[in-house]
Amino acid sequence: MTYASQQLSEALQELVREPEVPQDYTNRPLPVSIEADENQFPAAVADFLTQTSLYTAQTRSVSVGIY
Amino acid sequence: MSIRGAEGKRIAWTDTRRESGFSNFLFIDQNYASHPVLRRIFSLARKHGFQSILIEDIDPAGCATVAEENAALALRQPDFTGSRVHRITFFRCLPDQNPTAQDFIGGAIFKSDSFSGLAQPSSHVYEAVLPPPRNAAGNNFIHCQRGYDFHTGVGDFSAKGVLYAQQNDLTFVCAHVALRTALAALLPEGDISYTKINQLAGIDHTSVQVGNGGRGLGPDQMEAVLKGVGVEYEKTVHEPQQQLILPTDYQRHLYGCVESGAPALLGFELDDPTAQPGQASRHVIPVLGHTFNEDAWVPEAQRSYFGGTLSYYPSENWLSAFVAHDDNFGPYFCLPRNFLRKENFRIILGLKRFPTLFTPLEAETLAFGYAQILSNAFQKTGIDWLDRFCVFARLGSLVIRVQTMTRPDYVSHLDALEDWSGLKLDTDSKAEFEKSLPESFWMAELSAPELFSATRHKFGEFLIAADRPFSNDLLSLLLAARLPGCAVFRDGGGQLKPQPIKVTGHTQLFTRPTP
Repeated sequence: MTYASQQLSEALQELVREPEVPQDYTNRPLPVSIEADENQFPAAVADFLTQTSLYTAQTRSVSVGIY
Repeated sequence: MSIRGAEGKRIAWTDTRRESGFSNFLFIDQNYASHPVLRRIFSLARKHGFQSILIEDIDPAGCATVAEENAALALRQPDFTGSRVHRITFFRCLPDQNPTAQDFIGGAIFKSDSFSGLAQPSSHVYEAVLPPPRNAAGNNFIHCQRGYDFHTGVGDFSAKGVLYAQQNDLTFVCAHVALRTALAALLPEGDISYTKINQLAGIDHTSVQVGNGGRGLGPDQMEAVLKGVGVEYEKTVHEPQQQLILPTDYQRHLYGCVESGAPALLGFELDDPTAQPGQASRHVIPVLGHTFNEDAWVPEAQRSYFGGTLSYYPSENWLSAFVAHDDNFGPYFCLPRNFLRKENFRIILGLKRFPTLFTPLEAETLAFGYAQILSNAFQKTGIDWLDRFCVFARLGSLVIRVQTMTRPDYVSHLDALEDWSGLKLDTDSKAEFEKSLPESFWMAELSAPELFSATRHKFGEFLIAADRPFSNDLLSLLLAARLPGCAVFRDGGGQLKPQPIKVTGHTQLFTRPTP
């Protein structure tokens, strides 16, 4: 088993060991609203999108070769 | 008038069963100059269980398409003397029976052009439409199939597939036939003529020529054709000689295009040790779909042994091969994943059914970011599958599958949705989704490896704006989400508000309807 697989198994086992939360459809502890803050949105996502957007813009008018 | 719909004069209706002594090879050797593409087409017909072939002669004078093609040939090659056109249709019934719609398999148009300077005619498969040899039950997914009508002397029929065409190397080359296949799958009229393609690409056959002794089409000319017929496309370029190095894996881009149900043109450079750097010949083929290997080793092995830093499983990891036509060889070939190396890859023009302001790969990356935010927001809710979603998201083990989606297709998907316990989405939630969504958007489906590959099920999906550019507020592109036991919509102030829904289990993945 790899380290990542082991971590996943442990996290899923933790869910099983948690005291059961009542599964009443009308009374679930869902958050009131969802907001992103700096800590939540992975910086790698924004970095990747910046990199790909720049490359797309750079190659937009490129026409090389004959097919 | 298309050649498929033209009146023909019957030459023969031949029994092709094994017991009749018919041989594809012998027949093509004797009648069609051992043409290799025709052998491929006949072999596909054999796979589809053909029992007879109807051969009809099409009079060029009675068919506008042939007349137009021949006029172009005469301009390009003054020694052109005329052509012979045969329509070959394949049936599952015996000759001289009354064929039903189920008996009809498809057909091919074989065109032989004669020139006074050539001892033998120059022949090509002008077009062919047959169903793919395998379908979704065989883990082959070709979403851009459509129906093509045939008029024959024994009745009118329709074949469902993707139009194949071969270049004549004089008035149209590989780029033309790739464009024709791709556009035939998307344009309402179901085809485009080479005359129109040449007109849009600026080819007049006298001052600007293509083919033998001439040249091919450049990417700018292919783009001019797509723009000229109003078809949107996504362009991905890798040109090492120009110091333009694609920062990502081109196959992820290619998969993202075809998974949305539209074909893509894949251009590559041939291996030629004698060519100067950047001067090797190039070829382009239309990619139509993909195969799926539910027991693929790649997703886990890529992450554990070779990748290391991946934080989700792209659904492309389960792809075994792309399905493509190659005009040099014939229709419906499998191009194995990783066979065409990045060193040879040069361009993808991925056609789109509607405009999007960013790529499938970028939408997939956004979905990964949203999964982190939502999994942090939902802390141990007691809804088993929502909690499992959060664990898979936080530990980088989600499968993410992205495609473009229209609101009507998504609403139909919600209508059909049923979780593992048989629970369906309530009417109010469906109405809320319908109200929250624009006409078209990105859909990112979220799953776990075992769910995705075995039952083809998922936790839920994120619906992401496709018509807005990136800004500092990337979360603003998330339109809505559906997860086990929870839907997320934006309120009047633009805040994302979760609300409970009755579907608390995992549900089936979206299956794209074929026109």
